[in-house]
Amino acid sequence: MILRGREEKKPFSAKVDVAIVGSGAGGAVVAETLAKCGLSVIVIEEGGHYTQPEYGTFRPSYTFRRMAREAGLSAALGLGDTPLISLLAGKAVGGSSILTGGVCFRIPEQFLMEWTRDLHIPRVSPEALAPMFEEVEQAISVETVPIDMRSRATELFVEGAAKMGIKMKPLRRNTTGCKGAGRCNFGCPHGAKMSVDLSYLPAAQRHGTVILSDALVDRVDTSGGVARGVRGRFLDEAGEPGVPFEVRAKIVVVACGSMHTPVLLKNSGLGGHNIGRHLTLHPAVRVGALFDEAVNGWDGAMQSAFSDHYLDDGITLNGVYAPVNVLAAAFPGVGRAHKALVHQMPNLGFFGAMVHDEGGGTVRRGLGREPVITYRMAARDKTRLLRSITILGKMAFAAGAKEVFAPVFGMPTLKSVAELEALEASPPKAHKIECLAFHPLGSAKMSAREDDGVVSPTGETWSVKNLFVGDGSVLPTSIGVNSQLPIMAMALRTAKGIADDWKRYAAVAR
Amino acid sequence: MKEPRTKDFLRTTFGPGHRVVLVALAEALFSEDSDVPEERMRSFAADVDGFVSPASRPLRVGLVLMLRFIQLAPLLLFFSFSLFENLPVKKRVELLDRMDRSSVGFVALVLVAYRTIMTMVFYEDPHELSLLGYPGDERKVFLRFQSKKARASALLHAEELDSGEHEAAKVHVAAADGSAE
Repeated sequence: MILRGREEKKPFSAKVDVAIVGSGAGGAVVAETLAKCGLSVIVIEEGGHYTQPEYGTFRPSYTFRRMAREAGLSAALGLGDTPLISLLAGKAVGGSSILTGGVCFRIPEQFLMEWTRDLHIPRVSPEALAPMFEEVEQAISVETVPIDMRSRATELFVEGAAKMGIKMKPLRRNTTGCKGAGRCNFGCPHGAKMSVDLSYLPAAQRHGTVILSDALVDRVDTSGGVARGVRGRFLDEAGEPGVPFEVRAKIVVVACGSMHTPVLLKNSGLGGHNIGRHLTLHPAVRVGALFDEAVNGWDGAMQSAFSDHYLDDGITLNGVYAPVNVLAAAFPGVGRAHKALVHQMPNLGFFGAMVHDEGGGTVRRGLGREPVITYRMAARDKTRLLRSITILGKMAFAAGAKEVFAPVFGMPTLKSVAELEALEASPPKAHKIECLAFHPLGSAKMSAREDDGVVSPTGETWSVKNLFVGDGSVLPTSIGVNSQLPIMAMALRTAKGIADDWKRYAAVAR
Repeated sequence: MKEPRTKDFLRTTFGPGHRVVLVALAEALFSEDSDVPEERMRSFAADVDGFVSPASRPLRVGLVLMLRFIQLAPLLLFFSFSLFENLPVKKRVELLDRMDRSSVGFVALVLVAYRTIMTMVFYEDPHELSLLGYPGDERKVFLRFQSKKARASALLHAEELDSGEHEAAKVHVAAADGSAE
């Protein structure tokens, strides 16, 4: 059952076993897992509820304004020599899983070994997490993108990479029956992407889970050091908080995402210097290439190929595309010059890269409901970002591109490898780099010792019993790959732990 | 395209004074040759308002202040006693171009922010999309998917993969045969 908060005119209260704040990749997995065990579960989501047939027809800007935080205009403010980093996060039933490209990676073993060996976190070894990954992959239908679903633009970049000795591999995505509409991250028009609103949440509902949409949780109620439930207000038709609600629960799971989980924890009175710190982003860039032939980048899977050739150097190359108006928004120039570039769209291909970053991000409470996010990029990561631009540019030229669009504001297109190398040799100021991030992680990180993090290895906060974090905030380091599947696997691990120890948690709640 | 069923985010951000600047900005960005009808420019300003209005109050206030900065940019940056909207289109383009290339982070950011928002909304118009060669609703079908030539080419590419990936590629190409529209 889904209750739309904006339609609720009277105060609402409920008493359940588990209250989950956030309906994205993490919260949905926890809900389904615990509901399947016979627990009563309520999922509380700040965003609205849109069905797939509904959001499948939205224009990209409508998807942004209805289903993304800050209408898609969230950003991390760069401190020091750091670019402004555009951040995309979902705010709807299904969360960011509706706005991903569907790319699914397991956490690379090197990071799991680091968590196990160096950070001493139990049950996160490759062997321990493998069953979690397998279960989630089956539930969301993870499959390899067929080679022939690559757009011509992607094929050309792959050819360019091959000439440079860079091996490209097919990506895996959570899709079934993909028709290559090329706009996965604005809501799949065919319902082919198995975002959690089409997979885990319906399954949870079949086991009795209730979903509250348009419901802003103000705080987690605690007493005696134990979580007792949550309280908040429904959002009205103008998006403003109004009618109050209250949910009493034996366990509360916070899964609002790395940008909002720390804010809710702080608003609920949790202290400690680790909340909101250690945010990692996977800063990313995309490079455009102008070809002589029409490559119609929109005609094919939005993301279909990747390379881990530079993984040891902290760089992952990922095929990307986006609706043409969104791509046009990043083009340089003004007036006639800008228009001329935009009208070459059929001949433009794009490829992206993201950096496995050291961190340096912080989430703070802002003036309103949205947090203030700052990020100080490590010198190492800025070097990696610039190197990514050079690698992608060289791939484009090797594939026969006649011009390359570097992600540098105000910079004309590059017409040769020499110009590209000059850019790397004499880098622009950081604020001129167009930088994006889609994987905020680690702002309430898991640790083996209370002093080092916010949650224990079970996912329970160190400072409040029966209060868990079930989203990407708990990841103790950056992982260098797309985070949807890792978040879901870690959430499943947490949920299974809760289910296994339910009697103990229920006793604490009494 | 279908409008969303739910009528949320009814609030607005820009008043009439702001919209004049928005229209002037849109003319400079998209209609340097005055090839976009005036009426469309006015409705476009309303679309931009609709786009930013779901954002939080601090962000909306920031955007309004940035728009005011653009309005006063001729004076603040170039000591010209004129508001942005009163400049001829050609002068507006020159001013924005200088902002784009500015080494002062904030100045470039203001231009980038508005160009990003307005370009995204402007080129969402079906007429503009068709001028770009974008096939509109045909995007819902992956046209190359059904091409035998593309499948043959895919198998050729698959030769470059190792044996496991090659097998997986063949399986998926075969599966695709049954699922194309």
